Amino acid sequence: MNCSQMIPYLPASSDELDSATFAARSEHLATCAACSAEAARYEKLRASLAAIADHEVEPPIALIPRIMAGADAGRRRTLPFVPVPVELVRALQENRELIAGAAGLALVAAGTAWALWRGMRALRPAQART
Amino acid sequence: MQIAPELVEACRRGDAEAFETLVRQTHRTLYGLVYRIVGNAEDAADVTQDVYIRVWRSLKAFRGDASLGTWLHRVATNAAITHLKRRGRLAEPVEEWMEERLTTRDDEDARLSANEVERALERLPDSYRVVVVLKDAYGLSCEEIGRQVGITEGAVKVRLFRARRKLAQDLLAGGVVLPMRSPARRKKVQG
Repeated sequence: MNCSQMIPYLPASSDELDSATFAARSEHLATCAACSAEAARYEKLRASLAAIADHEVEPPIALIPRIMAGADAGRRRTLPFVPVPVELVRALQENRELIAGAAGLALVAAGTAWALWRGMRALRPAQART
Repeated sequence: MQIAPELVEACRRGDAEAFETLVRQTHRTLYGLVYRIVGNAEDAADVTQDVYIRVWRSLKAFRGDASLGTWLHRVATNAAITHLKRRGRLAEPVEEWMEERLTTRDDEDARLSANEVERALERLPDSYRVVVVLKDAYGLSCEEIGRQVGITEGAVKVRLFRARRKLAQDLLAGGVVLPMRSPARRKKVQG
């Protein structure tokens, strides 16, 4: 490779190059001072970029209160309001078949009572006339 | 980021105080990562807040197959990249192919502070900054970066070349050169 062909590969780290390109670059750098110097500058750049991961960027002072307010709002939206004692809820869950049966019987009883009441209402005007 | 298992467990149980402790222990690192990807403080604060709210809501589903610190990094990286995508900021700028050598100055051995590097990163186009931060600062592979950003590995390498070239021109033109750093101290983030 000549210098013009080498320029795209000078900033690359070795893991970014296939073996053939890496070998060609190494061979060229061994004989070209200008390309070798430029590759060294890029190596320094990459090393300094690696260093900034440990450099702390100061977050805004209000960031933590913002985060906790947002988390708290989310928590209140997702939690259901349960006004009954936990023991009552547990008892209802354990006896749900019995409760369903009782509710069915109650419906039948209510329906029967309603029908009787309607029947008695229908009879009443005839009794009043007599 | 090392996070005590007891703290993780308390957060999974929904302990709000434990969660605040987790936030205090980790927010500088995550904010720094997000800031370097999105490029400005206002967006970084918004994204970091969203990250922690997402973490709070999904901690119960955290399986523990990776460390919580690694998981937090992954969530933060994804959130920052998604933020840029939604705003159409990851499109690659149209540029001439650069065939010239870097220009240099006589005071090439001058030292550079981390702040100078951070400022130079801010001046990069978003699409270049994302790849060079994830690759050179946080150690992700080109394949991982391509998967996260939604571009091919080849496109990642092109953007890396352009990003590094712009940074080198910017920093060298500013009269500074960058201190070498031992690779052993480098922080690797699992993307």
